[in-house]
Amino acid sequence: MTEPTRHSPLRRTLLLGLLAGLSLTMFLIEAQFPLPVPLPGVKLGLANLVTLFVISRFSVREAAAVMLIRILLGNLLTGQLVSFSYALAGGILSLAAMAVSHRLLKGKSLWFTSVMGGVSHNLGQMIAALCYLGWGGVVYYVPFLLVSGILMGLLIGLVTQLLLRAWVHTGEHPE
Amino acid sequence: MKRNLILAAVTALLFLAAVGGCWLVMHMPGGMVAVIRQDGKEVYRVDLSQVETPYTMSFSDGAGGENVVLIEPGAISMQSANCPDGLCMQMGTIRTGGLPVVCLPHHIMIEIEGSTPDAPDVQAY
Repeated sequence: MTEPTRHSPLRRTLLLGLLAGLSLTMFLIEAQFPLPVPLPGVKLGLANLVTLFVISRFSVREAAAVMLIRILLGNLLTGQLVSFSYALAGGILSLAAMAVSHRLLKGKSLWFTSVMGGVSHNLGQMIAALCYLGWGGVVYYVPFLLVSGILMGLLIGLVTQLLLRAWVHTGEHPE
Repeated sequence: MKRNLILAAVTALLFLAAVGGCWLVMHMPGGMVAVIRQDGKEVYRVDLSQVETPYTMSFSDGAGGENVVLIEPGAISMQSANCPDGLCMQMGTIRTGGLPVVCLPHHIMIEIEGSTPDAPDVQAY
């Protein structure tokens, strides 16, 4: 279930393009429904379903590419320059953490990798905030962002893991 | 299965620690001096306990971003802002130390002193 796929380069590019589009769509849809929590940075992170999927079935490098495209286009379409830097900071740290976790766990327990991703994403954004706002009370958001990161990471991770398991077992996937 | 158990335990511990942190932040004692910073630099400071009539102050980030802060006896809040998400207005009114009110897009932070973590250049003004 967690073995990388063995597609031809062309097929790979096509699939990744599709996945990037999917990730972007999820991001845009999620942006339409802000959570009723007055804390900056709290979100479901639906697009990470795709990121996890690509990490699991392709490679970290390709997941990074997909995530970068999503951040670039997503912020181009919805946000300003500021949100772009926050998203980038969160994304880079999140990807790094997930890469390490995925490697250490040898591809297993994807849900935990997702939790690590969620937590580090929020920490990355906190670091960006500290750069913009200077040291101060913003750090008091950290515990709340950790709670959110853990919960959302867990949710997304479990869904992805179950999805992968169901997909493989139907025997209808291309490989 | 054992691996999942260990990971679950680690996650649960992290979660509990985070929840504990939340509780601490929400029950932190604080002073009454509100400080407004933009781009990390202090732009306004007021002792909320000395305020008798409410008034507002406007801040702009030089790129079209406008924020209006409402200062009342013992309380401070973001009255209006033209930022894309408007989260800063949803954060409500703060009366004591702890969570600040921030407008991330416009780099503005409002916090009440007495609870800010010590930093080298925060106290010197």
